Amino acid sequence: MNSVIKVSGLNKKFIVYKKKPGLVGALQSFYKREHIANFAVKDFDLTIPRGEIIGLLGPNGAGKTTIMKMFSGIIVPSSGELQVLGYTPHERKWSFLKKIGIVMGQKSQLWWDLPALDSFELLRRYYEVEKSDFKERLEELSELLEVKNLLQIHIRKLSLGERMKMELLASLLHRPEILFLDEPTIGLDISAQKKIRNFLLEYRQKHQTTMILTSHYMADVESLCSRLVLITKGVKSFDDSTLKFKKLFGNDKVITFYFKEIQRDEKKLDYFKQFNPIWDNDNLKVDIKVSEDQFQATCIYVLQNYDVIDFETQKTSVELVMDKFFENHK
Amino acid sequence: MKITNKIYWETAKWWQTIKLTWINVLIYKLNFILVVIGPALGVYLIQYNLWSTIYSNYPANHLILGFTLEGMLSYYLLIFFVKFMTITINGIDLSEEIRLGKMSSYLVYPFYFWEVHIAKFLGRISIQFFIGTISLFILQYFLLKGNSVITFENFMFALPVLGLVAIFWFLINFLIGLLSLWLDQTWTLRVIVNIIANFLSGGILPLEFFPSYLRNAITYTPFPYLYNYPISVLRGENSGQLIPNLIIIFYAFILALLIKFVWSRGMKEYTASGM
Repeated sequence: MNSVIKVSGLNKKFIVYKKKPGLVGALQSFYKREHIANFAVKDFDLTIPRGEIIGLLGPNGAGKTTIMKMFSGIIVPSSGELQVLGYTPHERKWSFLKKIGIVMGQKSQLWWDLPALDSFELLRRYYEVEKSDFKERLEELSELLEVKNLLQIHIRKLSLGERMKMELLASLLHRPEILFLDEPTIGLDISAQKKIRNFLLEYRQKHQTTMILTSHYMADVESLCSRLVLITKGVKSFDDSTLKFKKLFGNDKVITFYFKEIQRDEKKLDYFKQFNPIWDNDNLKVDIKVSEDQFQATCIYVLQNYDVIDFETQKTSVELVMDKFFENHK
Repeated sequence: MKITNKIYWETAKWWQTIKLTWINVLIYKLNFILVVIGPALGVYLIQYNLWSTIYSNYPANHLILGFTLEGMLSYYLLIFFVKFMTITINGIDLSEEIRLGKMSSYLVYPFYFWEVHIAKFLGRISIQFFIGTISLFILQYFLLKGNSVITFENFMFALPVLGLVAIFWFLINFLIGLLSLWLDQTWTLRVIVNIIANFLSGGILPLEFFPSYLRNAITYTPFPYLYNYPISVLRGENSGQLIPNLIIIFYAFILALLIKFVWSRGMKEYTASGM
């Protein structure tokens, strides 16, 4: 297996100073500062093969972004082994930096007061991209991202979605081997999120770029990542395929039935009780959770015995499994 | 071929950063005037009025510690000019970048962080150089009734000295900015350093006003060489001296070493908060 990232026993410790509340606390902190050492990441192991899209997931403060910062060389690990493309990231060798790209959903790398094209021209020099390659890549990326007509508009005048597209473009101009995406769709509306996801899938298919993603949007993870790494309190708690993760809590499906008339018959209502039903206020719609084995029989029974006008099924989403998972790991 | 290529890209990185700094500064012309020109000009106008009032109590050509009114006003005009040619707001930029985690973007570029900052500094200082020179000529025409403060020859002599002083200020501001890796706020420290430097270098009162023991005590500190010395070179009084230049170089070297030390320690502390 050709791995691009190898991590073993990685730790990152942060010192946090405590301060008692109020003026007395503020004065005391002048001569006596108590601190606690927090492990943001603890004994973390991971191997990522080339070309994979992997999702780092976890609740706020779990350590996902800290891991990303260590992978890209922005911060220095406290201890452990970390090799990215054969380099030690925090040494920040130029040959390494030219092979990685990073998109930070909450931070812009573009010059706020200038058109995106000015920043791209600067990045072309920083990453030593030949003019012809730059032209070709800019053409390709701006077309894929549908931002061709926005290149000469000041960044501050762009919408959040357009800005994020520009950030992506900026991070891919030097054609990195690994792309780190830290919440790339944060704050975007559903349509903009979808466009970014489609772009990433298309780009990855074309260039086989390895992508490491952190996101709070499960739709990002479900549609992009073949593999999930779950982190709780700095510790890896799951590392396998997204499919396996979904099956972690069984193969349940959620079926929603819509009825023609209000369901009042107690006997008829009783049938649904075995599936933990969630009825709407008018008893015109019900959500039930059934196992894969029960699915067919349940659907046939309900369709034959009730006035059903419509129904839909849903697989258990990563989001649901995630909720359960983190509840169990509290 | 490889070396030529390396030089080409390195030059391109520097040049493009300088160019973007120019564009960026010029976008907010009013802001630039208010932040950079405003305070310096304001201080000069206060000094102008203050000394004009003091000298009005004496007969014409009266000397106060060797200065005529005209000499005093041209001294403060040169202070304004030297400030303009040597000090930028680069340290404030750096503190913000560290505090808000913006520094992270620069850390992943194949262009050293200090190179980005020096290039930005060169961008700013070159604009200030241009505006400072024009302002000097306008002010000397209107406020000093066209009496020439400096000659072209003295100006050329002073350029290397001004360059050294600019490097010194850049380094000290960069060092204070880097302290943001530990401190939440560094502006108070910057203000204190500026006040001390201003006072001991003749930025508030000419050093001739100081008692001789104080002047002797600061001889081997960098302070007299930040304003007093460059002004004397601009006036053609002190050109071609080696010791003052060596003293500035010595302190710049010490600052560079300190920056290297603080940087290597600080990067272990950097948390890239806000990212």
